[in-house]
Amino acid sequence: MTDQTGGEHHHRVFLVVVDDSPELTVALRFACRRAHATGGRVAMLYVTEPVSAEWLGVGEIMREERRTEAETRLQELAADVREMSGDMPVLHVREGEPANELLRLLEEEPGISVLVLGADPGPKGPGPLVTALSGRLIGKLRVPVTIVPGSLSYAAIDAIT
Amino acid sequence: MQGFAAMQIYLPVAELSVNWLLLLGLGGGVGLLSGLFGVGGGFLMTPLLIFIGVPPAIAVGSEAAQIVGASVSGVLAHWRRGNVDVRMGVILLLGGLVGSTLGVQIFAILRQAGQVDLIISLAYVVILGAIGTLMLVESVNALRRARRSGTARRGKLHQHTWLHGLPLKMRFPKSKLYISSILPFAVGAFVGVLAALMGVGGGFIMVPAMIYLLGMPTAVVVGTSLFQIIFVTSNVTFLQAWQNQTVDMVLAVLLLVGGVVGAQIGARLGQKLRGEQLRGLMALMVLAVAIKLAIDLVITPSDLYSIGGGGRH
Repeated sequence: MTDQTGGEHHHRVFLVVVDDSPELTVALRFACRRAHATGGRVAMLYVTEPVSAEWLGVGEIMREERRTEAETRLQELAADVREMSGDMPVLHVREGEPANELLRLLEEEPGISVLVLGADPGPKGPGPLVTALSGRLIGKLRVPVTIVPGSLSYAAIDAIT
Repeated sequence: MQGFAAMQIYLPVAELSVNWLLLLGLGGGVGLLSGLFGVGGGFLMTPLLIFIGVPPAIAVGSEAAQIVGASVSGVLAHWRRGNVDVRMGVILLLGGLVGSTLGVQIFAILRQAGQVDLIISLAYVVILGAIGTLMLVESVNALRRARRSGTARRGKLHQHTWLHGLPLKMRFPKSKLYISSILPFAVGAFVGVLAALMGVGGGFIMVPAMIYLLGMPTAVVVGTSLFQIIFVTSNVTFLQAWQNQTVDMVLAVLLLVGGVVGAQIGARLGQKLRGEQLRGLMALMVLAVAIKLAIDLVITPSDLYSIGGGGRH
């Protein structure tokens, strides 16, 4: 876990989970606008795939490459977040299964007050995280969840926030 | 292998009656381990088949058939995420086809000389012994290092050695490489020989070679190696069945059914354990199999030079 800017607990923190889905940009926009309007901050979590029992140092190289990839992605997004919310986000990188790591982070970081998830508006359902966290894992959540439909435009989000 | 008569299934090529639940369980168990460790199960399954009395030559041929099925189910997830470098896979495959065809010929010659079962067991003792030892050393070091901080690194990514002076250079955009195609061809060929002689996919050799020798990014190595393994083990299965008559499809299908179910469960369990612990466990298991094979080689000399005759111990 990296905590590159240190958490300040007196502000609201909006956590967004970073993945490859197109609805990420919508969730991020919503979180940034809300943070900006309420004097809060944005935090981002990137969960890397766990490394299996490789040998000859292959596992370490895999882990390092995945982590570098995660950090590059977060740095790119952090620039956007800064532009939209006026503040640098808090960055978290973890290895494991996304839903489990998310729940663990929420336990460890009491400063996080809202979880913002983007939902896939397509016919295949809202995506694995939204499905899991609004279903069987909802009892384990410590914070409220805001689900942002991926079909919303930036203008629509700006109007709500 | 005594059980109720109804539970026995006759393996037509192995010429052996075995409890079919045992084979399903064996497939399931090895599948579970391979899901857990994220490796193919060939190098554990072939020795286990030898332990239950399947002649080594039949174990190798039938296990190749099972790996085809297991790799197809494994490659799908990687394919969907775009983690297969097809161009690199094709060069590895061309090498693999040459190597595995050559391997089957060597297999046939050894068989005619009556030495194939001995060579298979010896190859397993040497290779599993070496892999198990290296893995164990690595695990112990990793556990020691875990107390301090710091990670292992792959030195410089693009060091220039004589390997980069080889001709027939090709671009591999997906892996962001411009290297001689002789390199992946040679890696594929070596793994192909192993596939034919030992009934393994060879991912445990190919993956480190792809990273250290070819310099491929880790995101595509597993998917690309599975892509190669599917076609190389298909070639091995076809040639072994046609030339050496050593593929027992009844055996292969039973192992595959158990294996696919086991792998799903193993993959889920694997997420709960740490890589270092898993590697340590696997090292111990690999060593145990190598030691058992070595002991069997010493205490049953009458079986060393035979392939037929039922193969019962």
